[in-house]
Amino acid sequence: MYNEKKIKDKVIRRVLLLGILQVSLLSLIISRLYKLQIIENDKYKIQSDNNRINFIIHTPLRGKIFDSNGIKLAENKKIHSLYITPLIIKDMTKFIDIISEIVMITDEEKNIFTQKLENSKRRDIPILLKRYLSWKELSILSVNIDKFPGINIKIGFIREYIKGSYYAHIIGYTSKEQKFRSFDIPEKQFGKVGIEKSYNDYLKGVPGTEEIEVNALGKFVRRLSLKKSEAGANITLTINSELQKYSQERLNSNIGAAIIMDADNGDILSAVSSPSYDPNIFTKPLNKDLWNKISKQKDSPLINRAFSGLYPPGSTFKPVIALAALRYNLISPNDKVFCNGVFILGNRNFHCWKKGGHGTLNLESAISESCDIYFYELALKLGIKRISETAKDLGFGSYYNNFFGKPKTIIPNKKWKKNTYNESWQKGETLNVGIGQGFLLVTPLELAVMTANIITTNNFIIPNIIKSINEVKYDSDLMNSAENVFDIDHLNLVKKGMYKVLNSPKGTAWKSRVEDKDFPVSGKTGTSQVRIISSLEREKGILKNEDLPWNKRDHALFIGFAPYKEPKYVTAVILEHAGGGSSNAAPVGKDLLLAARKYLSGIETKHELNKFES
Amino acid sequence: MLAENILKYINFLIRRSYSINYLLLILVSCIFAFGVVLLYSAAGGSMDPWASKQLIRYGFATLLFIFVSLVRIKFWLGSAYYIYIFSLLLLFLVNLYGYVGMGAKRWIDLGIFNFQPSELVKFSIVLLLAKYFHAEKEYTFWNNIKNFMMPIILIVIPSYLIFLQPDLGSAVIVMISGLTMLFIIGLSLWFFIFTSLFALVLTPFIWIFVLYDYQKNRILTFLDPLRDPLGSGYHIIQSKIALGSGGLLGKGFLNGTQSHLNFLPEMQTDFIFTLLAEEFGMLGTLALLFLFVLIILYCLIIGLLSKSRFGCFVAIGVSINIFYYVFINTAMVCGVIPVVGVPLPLVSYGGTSMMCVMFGLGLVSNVYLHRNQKIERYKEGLLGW
Repeated sequence: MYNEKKIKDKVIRRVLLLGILQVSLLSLIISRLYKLQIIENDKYKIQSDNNRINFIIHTPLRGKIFDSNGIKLAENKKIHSLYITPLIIKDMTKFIDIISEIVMITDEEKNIFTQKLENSKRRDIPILLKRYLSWKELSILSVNIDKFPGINIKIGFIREYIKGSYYAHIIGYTSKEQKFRSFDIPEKQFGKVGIEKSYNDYLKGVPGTEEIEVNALGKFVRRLSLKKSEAGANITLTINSELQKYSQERLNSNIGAAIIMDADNGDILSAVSSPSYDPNIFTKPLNKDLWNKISKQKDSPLINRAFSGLYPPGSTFKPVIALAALRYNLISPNDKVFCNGVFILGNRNFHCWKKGGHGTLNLESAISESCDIYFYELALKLGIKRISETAKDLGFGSYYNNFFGKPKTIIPNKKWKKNTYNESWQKGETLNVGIGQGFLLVTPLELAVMTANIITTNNFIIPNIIKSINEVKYDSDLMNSAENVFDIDHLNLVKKGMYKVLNSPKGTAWKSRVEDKDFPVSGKTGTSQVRIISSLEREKGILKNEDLPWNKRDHALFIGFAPYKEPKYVTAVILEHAGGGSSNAAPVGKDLLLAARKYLSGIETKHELNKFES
Repeated sequence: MLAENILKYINFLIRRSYSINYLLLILVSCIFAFGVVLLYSAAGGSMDPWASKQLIRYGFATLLFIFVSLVRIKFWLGSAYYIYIFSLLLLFLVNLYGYVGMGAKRWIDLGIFNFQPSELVKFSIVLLLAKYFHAEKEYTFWNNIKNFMMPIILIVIPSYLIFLQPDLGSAVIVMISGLTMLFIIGLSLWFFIFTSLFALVLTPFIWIFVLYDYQKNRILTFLDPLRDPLGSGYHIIQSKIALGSGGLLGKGFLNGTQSHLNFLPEMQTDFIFTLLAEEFGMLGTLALLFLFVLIILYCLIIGLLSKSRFGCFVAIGVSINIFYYVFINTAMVCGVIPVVGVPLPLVSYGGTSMMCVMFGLGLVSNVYLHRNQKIERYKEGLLGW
């Protein structure tokens, strides 16, 4: 019995030891439960919701873009993409091989798919295999969809630009948004350039959201919430498509830009930049070769020359000088200036473009014959400060809105030169500005705005390209806010001068006159030098443009308006390195104004429109 | 005569049944009630297919419990070796002809239901060891090598057979329960120290030569669940999410999202604890654990109360078994140990496990009934009647 008791005592001792082990093991479990259920509760709650809730974003339809006549310019094209749900497929390699027999799948697409497959943590989420199924592929897949469990065809939308290259610079294009995970939104586009970019907030619409509860296989259980997407606003532009097309074709193979504007309210009726490109290539993933080709092309088709191209305005700037001189009472209209071809300032000679000079001139004839000497004199009298102020009052260097952007225009003055070159202003530089050369750099749009402001006597004109947004007439805050600061008589004097440019036999653009009493075209030509003519060269005889290498040739410019009395249309044309403005740019400008008349007023001028004259 | 004897015996049983340990039965029923509620929820708020079947099984299991409690303790003492041999035979059979389910041969198809011999082995070893050490007459044997080696061999044979099925979890339970029993019985601590050292030396060999790839995988995945989040790690990750998202009070009855949306595989069997944790929170899990603690503690007390060595060892053995059962299952679903496939006793859906646990608890109740009976050390008759 003694031993039996001894054994029992030992058992009790051991049971107590075991008890300690058990208590510690149990505390381990309980502390673990405490950690998971209490301390990390929030974390796991989120994970559990992530498990069961699929958050779906419904891409809104992007707003459409129309021209002023309601012709569709940009709309949304349905595309079909092939997705694969990995969970359902046992042998992925074999499956892809079978699919490849029906659908063209490139190696690149295959690689991207494999990569996504490896990175995906959830096998129930479909992975993109091929975007942009062709109709043939789509129809074969749709018929056989039962045979391939695991394939999903999702519908998305991409942008389609119906008028292609005619609107490339105005509308721009969209690109796929990178911020969103690809499985949420098949195609989420955002504007990269042009109207698409500046009015992206209007166009993009409001995405819809949907939360659905799914089971472990990703199958729909029930809908938890739904907020429908709202389509983006439709935008109607002030552009007339026929005019736009004509303008683009009129520029033909020239590099340059042309703008036609409504003289009354600044509505842009057409704005083209040449060369152009097809924006539709950007809506699909762009291959690198094509991108390199386009972006490195020497004639830079991606640049919008009409709104942001910078050019020395040349003689088209002379009306500004004339207006400034009248504004500050430095001349009276009949003051005569004698031009002998050379203007001497200090020890430097400033030449007129016309060898031998123009003889005696008043303001009107100085403008119409574009005498340099006359404007050297005026510029010198004015000084750079008054010139730059007048230029700014006519709209140069103004910021209108995000679409037109902030131009890099240079209207030089003393302060500008000090800041830029840390040098003081030279009088000779004022002379250069007087004939639109020197530091002066402006955009074609600014030339159009300037012209509009010279010929319009009431309000200050600012450019506008939006006619309406969602059928509601668009009103810019800036519109009609400022008054024209210039004296009507002064404006009319300059306007008269510009009339004579085309309508007096001595005018520089006499050849481009329109002999229609109801629609006389007026304007100003400009030939801006891109090189400095040395005195040595001048002695030898100035080389003709045809004899110069292309990139050294002069830019041809023309600003114009018509009809003379109550102007309706304003134009600004710039042809890079095309030579003289009167012989090259003026005919184009005249044709554009006639085309505007034809397409907007429906009146054909007897004058024959030049179609493809270069 | 015979009929009279039978009537007499029934009468005897009825009189005896007043002294059945009802406290134990009540505790068991409480735990079982948890099981039915959870199985009802697991089926998405339906008695079918699990809860109703489990209820029927519970009826049979209770009858078994009562029967096992009421039989004379000497019957169990006498038949202990036969039960062991019987369960060993079944193990051989299952390894040879077993029905393959979930990648392992664990079941014997008995027509009406499938039987999992490994569950029976857990308790037959308890009987075997209890009887073995009950029968030892010499008291110097505690330090005798024979008394260590023999039981070890008798434990290793079934656990190795279970391991071959392969069922790592049950094999481990059989091994460590057996060793813990030997410890309780009072073998010198040196044996255990040597065994642990030996096991430590053996581990690399076991890793290389013994463990199956899927078992290695499970252990590796346990160490780093993100290694294979969609394969073997899936269980651990999803189970942790279910546990953790339950919080203090849970998502509410029938509101478990992890379980009802099928993120938790095997939620009605091995992972039922996570369902409890998700729907009833930490309070639910603590309540269930508390009930288990009561049962384990109560079994230990009954063992210590028993005047006979056999009774003492049986009750403590059953207690140890249930403890490891519960510990391994909960530790597995909490991610403390690898996923080894052990059900939660009395709660998980499954017949064999419940029957065997009730058989074990019946033995404890039997020990309680016969706690004051002293049993001679020497062998009784064949069946001890």
